[in-house]
Amino acid sequence: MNRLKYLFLLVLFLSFNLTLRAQQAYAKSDKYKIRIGDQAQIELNANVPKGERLIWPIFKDSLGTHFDIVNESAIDTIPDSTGNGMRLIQKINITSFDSGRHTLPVFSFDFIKATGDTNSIISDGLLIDVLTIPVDTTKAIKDIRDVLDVPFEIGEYIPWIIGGLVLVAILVAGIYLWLNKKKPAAEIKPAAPKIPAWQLALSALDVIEKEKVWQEGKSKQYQSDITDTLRKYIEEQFKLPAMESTTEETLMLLRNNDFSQEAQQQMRQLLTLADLIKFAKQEALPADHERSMRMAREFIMTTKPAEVKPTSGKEAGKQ
Amino acid sequence: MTDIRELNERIERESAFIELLNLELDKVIIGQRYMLDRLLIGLLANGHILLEGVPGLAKTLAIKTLAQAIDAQFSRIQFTPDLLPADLIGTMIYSQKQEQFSVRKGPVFANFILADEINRAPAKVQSALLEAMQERNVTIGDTTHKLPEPFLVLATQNPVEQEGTYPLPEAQVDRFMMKVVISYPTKEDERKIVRENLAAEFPKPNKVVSTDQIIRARSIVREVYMDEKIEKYIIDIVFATRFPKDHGLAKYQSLISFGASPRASISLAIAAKAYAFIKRRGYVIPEDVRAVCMDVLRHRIGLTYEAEAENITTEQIVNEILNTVEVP
Repeated sequence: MNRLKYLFLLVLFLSFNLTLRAQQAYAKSDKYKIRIGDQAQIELNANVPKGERLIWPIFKDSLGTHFDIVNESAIDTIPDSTGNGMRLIQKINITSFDSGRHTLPVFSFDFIKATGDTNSIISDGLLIDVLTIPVDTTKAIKDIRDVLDVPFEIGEYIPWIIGGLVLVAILVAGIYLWLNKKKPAAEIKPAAPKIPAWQLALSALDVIEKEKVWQEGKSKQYQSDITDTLRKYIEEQFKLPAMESTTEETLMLLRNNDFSQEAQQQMRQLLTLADLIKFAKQEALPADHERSMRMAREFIMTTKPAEVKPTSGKEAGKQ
Repeated sequence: MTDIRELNERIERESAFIELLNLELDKVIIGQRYMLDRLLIGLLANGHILLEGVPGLAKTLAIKTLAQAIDAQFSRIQFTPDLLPADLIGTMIYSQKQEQFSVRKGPVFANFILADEINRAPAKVQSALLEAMQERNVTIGDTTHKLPEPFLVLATQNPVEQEGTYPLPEAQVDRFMMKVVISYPTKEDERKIVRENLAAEFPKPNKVVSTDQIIRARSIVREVYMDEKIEKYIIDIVFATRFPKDHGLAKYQSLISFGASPRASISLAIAAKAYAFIKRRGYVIPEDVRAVCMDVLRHRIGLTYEAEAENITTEQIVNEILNTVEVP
């Protein structure tokens, strides 16, 4: 019975020992003495058996109160030489600006087995001496050394000089080619002779008359067509905003632009009658419509620009 | 044809009081013809007016004189930050003698109301007045009281002092048919004003028109003929404030945040009719629309921050629209 008991304890001890051997984790430093501000490299190393997971220690930008992390490598994963697990390695460069002997904090590696059981391995605390520089206070204080001058070497600048010259040459060649490029002869299209506004207006009045709109009882349309034609004529011929002006405003435009009294009077009669027909339902007599058309034509004829006749040199001299 | 001739004759007859009224107003008010015309338009078109101008331009005197010449009741309400809606519309008070509540009507129960510096009172008082303006009646306790006819509100705003004011929201400003901006009198007019004041000559207007005449005139104003070409012109103008790009005003597209409402079209139409009536015409011509357009639209167009940064005003936009939209 006792033998069996010892055998059971031995098996239990060996299995526990094997598990411990399989799960390995430690931290080590490449230097245990650094000068103040100098860097040391800490290596975290852990062996993770197959089927287990490891929760890697978490740290921020410092280790303890005396060490700052300069940079850290990614966690390197290497298959174990036995093929029964993985080896995880991370290297962390640390520095310290506090002189003295400081203990690096311990790292906790938490292993989680497939069964869900956890086991933590705590690394040893590492002692690192941060050495300061002895200052000889008996000597005079000296200035900081200036930046050292690097001797000038033409060889370093030759590629840049050549590149610049090539660029200038390309630019000059480009400008030369562009300036000497033959321009295609512009196709000259004969401009269509522009019909004067007064001719267009007279033609439009002819069309209105031929349509015989008022004879069909559409007095409003007839008067609107005549006034629109005249306003368009004023706008195009004299560049006055007659299309956007009311009757009074149109008359004011004529007055302010030195139109003859006769033209102003014609326009006043014509627009006033048109307003009554257009906006006040007033019926006009046939004679009214005919008078409107006549006055519209007269207005155009009296206000159209004088035709310039070619004159001989003698005639011109007389004048 | 006969209708319009009849209408013209009727308007000629019924609008005769306008001349009498103008004579009485001119006796008291020197200059400010523009403001007086707008007051008459508001009165005839049954719309309220927002007046903007610096103090001392005879705003109060104008509406007071109008009320006197029409034989109508006049109330002046000075809007202050501590004014309450009850101070305006009235309240129920308990009579110990009669052992019951009785209604005490507020100053809003008058034909002509001068709401002086409307933007100095808080929003609840402003909305109480604006509701009365819109509904034409006031509810005190459980009873709704109809406001007297004609009912014209002339609200004033001072453009220079903006501290401690409650600017009217766009929705409420829209309820005013017109916003009239009045300016200083001419040198000649100002000299007359000074002389009259120094001589202590303050002529009093005679009562030349009755409120019944005004109410009758209002119904005739609505009958003033408006051709469909004029209707189209009004719609074109209002639409140009909403979609300037479609009316050849692309440069204003980014400067207008919102255009005039349909209420603006209605106001523009009725104001143009009233203006034609004042001019003793039975039909509307494009001049009538243009005459009232600025006052009807200036407070109904919203400007963007970009426009404000470039010092663009609604007046500039309305002017540009009038110079762009084709006149029928």
